Amino acid sequence: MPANFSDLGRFSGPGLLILSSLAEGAKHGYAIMMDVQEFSGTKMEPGTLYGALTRLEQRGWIEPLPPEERRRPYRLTGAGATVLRQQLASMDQIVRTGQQRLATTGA
Amino acid sequence: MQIASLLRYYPPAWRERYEDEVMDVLSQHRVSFSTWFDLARGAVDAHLDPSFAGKMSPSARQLRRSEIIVFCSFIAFVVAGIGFQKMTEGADKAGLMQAHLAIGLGYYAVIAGAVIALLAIVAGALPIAMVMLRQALAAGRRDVLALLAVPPALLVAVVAYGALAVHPSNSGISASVRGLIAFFIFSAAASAAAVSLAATRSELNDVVLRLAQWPARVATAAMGLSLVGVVVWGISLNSAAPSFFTLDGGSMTSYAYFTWLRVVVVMVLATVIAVAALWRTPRGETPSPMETATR
Repeated sequence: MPANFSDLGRFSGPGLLILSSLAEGAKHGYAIMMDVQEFSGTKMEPGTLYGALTRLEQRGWIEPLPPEERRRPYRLTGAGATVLRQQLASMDQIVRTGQQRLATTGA
Repeated sequence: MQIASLLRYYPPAWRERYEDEVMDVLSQHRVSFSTWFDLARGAVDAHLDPSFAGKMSPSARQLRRSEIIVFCSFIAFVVAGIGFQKMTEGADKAGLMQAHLAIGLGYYAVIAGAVIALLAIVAGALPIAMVMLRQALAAGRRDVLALLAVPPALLVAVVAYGALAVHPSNSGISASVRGLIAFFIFSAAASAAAVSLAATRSELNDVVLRLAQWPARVATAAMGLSLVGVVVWGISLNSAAPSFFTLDGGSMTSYAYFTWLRVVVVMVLATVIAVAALWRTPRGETPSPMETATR
């Protein structure tokens, strides 16, 4: 697992979903919630969304753009994209290993 | 209660940065029980996040914490002191105080300590309370204003309870008097908690907090004086009139010995906690009142 991602604690799951959402392009809070629900089925509540956004921003993995009225879009940074790639590669490794073992044992 | 009102419980620095955005999200979001729970949990997370600790310096936070502890210790001391005052009532004890120097000295040490501690707490707490009130009014912090309203509201309730439920004709310790004592103790604890919470939600500057360190030290020393007075009074009275401690002369229908012991234990705990809180504050930077006045 990439360094620091697990430091997000309970926000590591929501953090990964937000980074994945922003990989498509900049989005504001509500658009992130809708996108995450669409591609993962996870209904993220505002407290969790902003708890995770705060921590991702503190680590420099996302950055805020100038606000549009009350909405402020966020975009993925270079460091954020690297962390996301590492995290997805790690998860991909876990998925492939699990699938191979299931196929071998025939469980 | 609107869901957005929960945002008031987030740290001011967090609100300044994210409140508008979250309000916008909430205006489009379908609010459920999970949303309430999630936002409340988010407030706790934000308070635990040091980056939203606000503009107060670490030393100011330490000073605020120590002064809150001294204030709460003083309130506990006052409650115990009222128990002591109840013990000293009666013409026979007044006669003993006149006849035995140590009993009289102990009693007057308690009174002197109590008066000094009260004046010191008022001197230290009043400027802080004024700053908190002014900030809360300016920022529309209804939560802080509501917390600051708790002590006067409970004082009115205690007085009203006393006037309506306790009849002067009642002799001895009636159920209504016991109820009043219990309500008074509850009110004192609730008032101390409310004021402490209001202080933790306010941004207090170093100057006002450092200025309050001197009254806090004086109040703690005065609490120590009162404690010594209570101990001297009790030991001397036990030597002069041992029967007093074996009779049913204490508060809440208990023996006087147990009442005195309870008073001493609470006072010792309160004083030790206040001393420990002051001991842990940064020293060597606190200006004396004179120095502060000349700045």
